[in-house]
Amino acid sequence: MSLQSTDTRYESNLPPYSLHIFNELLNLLKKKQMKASDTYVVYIPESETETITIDEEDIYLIPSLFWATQKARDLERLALYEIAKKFRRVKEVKSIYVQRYGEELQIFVLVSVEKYNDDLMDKLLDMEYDIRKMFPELVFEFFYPPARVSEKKDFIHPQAECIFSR
Amino acid sequence: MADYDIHLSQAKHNEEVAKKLVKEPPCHDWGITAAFYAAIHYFECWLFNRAEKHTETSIPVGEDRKFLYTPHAWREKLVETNLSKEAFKSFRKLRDASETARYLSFHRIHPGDKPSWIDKPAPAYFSPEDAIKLVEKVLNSFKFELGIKI
Repeated sequence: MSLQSTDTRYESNLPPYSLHIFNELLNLLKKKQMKASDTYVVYIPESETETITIDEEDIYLIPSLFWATQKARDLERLALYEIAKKFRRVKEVKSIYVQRYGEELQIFVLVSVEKYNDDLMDKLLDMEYDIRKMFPELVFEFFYPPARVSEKKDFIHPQAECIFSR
Repeated sequence: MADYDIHLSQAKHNEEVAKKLVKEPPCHDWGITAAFYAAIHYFECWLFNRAEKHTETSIPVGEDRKFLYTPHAWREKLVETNLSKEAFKSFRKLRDASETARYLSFHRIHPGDKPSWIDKPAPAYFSPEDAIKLVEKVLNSFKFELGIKI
């Protein structure tokens, strides 16, 4: 992290953290509602890059802030890992893509089926429920499009991240 | 924004339409969509007497005043955190089936490209029996979990 001194303020080109989340974390730290040892989880869209200006008196908060934001990133990655680990056990799951919309994680679980399968939906929704309970700080949307003859390049956004494919 | 009574009467209307449509193949796929919109109104009815009151007005916003989540994602979060697992699964099953019935593939996530469809329309993907089960069993289960008299 490089800090540039201006008259009374320090500026830092932070990693691509969302500005309002940064401010929210900063406020919590200021109010001592969050300690570095707490886990405060927020979703941080990587596509947003902001230059943050921090008042000099708040500069001591930066290590805690980095710690907290890193924890959030770690948790999101962990959630994606758990999603891939769980859903790959279902043979009908062809691939899984993730894209971000606002602060939510949209998970597309592509299933190879030709007809609606209620038992399969039960199984998938049990897994989805478990994931949501494991990561209550995150907001998800899950989709289960039937993809028997579709090729993923035809309908998955180029920016979507593939976290599982067979 | 509708109040309790309006949500309830709209929910009942949508449910009646759903019950009719599922018994009239090949229109049964639209019965699934009507059932999902009945479920939304039953849920909004339930939510009306709680702190959130409406899904749309309780969505968290950022400092830029923009919504952090879509209404669908936030409603599902409310269902998941406030209701039973059975209620959550019923609601999600109706939503997912209705999305599939309407779109089959998710062309909306890649608007620049030609949509890629599975090789059959929704009435062939969902059998009339599937649709009847979604309307009569799954929607009833959701209503039961909400404490709404079936």
